[in-house]
Amino acid sequence: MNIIPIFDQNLFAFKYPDEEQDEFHRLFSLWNDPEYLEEFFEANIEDITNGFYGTFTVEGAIILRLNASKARQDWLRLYALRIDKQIYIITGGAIKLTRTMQERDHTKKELAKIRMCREYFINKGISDIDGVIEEMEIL
Amino acid sequence: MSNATEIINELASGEQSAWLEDANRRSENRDWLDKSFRIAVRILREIRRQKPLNGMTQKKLAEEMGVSAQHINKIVKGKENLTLETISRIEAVLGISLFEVPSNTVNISLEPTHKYSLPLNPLRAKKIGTYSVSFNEIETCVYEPDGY
Repeated sequence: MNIIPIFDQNLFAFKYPDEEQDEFHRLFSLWNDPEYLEEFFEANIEDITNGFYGTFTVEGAIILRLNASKARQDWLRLYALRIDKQIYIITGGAIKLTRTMQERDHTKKELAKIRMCREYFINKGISDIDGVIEEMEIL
Repeated sequence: MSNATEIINELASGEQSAWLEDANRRSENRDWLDKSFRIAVRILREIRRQKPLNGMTQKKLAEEMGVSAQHINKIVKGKENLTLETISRIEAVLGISLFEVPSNTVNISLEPTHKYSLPLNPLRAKKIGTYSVSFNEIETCVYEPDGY
């Protein structure tokens, strides 16, 4: 795994061996990809029809990407570890359509990635500093 | 700088994320990329709708348009700056409308705002005056008989 600087001195992202892009770049690429979004919302159609955020058609849910609606802001999630209260390292992200991450496989996978990255830092010696790693949802 | 911050900086790759470059490109081309995105969504939804009816796929669309599958993939990724020719070909194959230019028509009414009457038989009519009709802003009609 690599840690890639995004911008500033405080934002980094993991780049996993099986991915061509770091997680920050990969997620923004996906969220701007109509083909990905169409397949995703079609596969999760039950979660957007009378779902946690209300009722949307597949097309409506995709087009939300073009505006700053409340639902869009709420369901696009970036996950990060925070170190020293100011450095963020993005571990992944998801379109979270349910109340908790445990309810769907694609968000459970993100939980597993957060834990894997935490382990990575612990193995690199950051575990000495108590409580500096936090799991966060930003954006 | 704390020990943890130092470790992060040591672990960080010299490689810079390409995100910023992508974000700048998206921002600079926002107007047409948003249109391309909407067109892509319309095409994708139509392909999905037609698939059980006629087996429509991106590959079939490419074949029927006589273009490469890669070209169609770029279109449905919302990254193609589409030409009118390409849009028309997609419309023809899928039987949908993707692009319409709103017509800027002006409703012209020739109904005069002031009523006037003429003698039933002009040959027998006594000249009572001349009239002029001017269409000011199309709908104003002026009748100015002599001697009135």
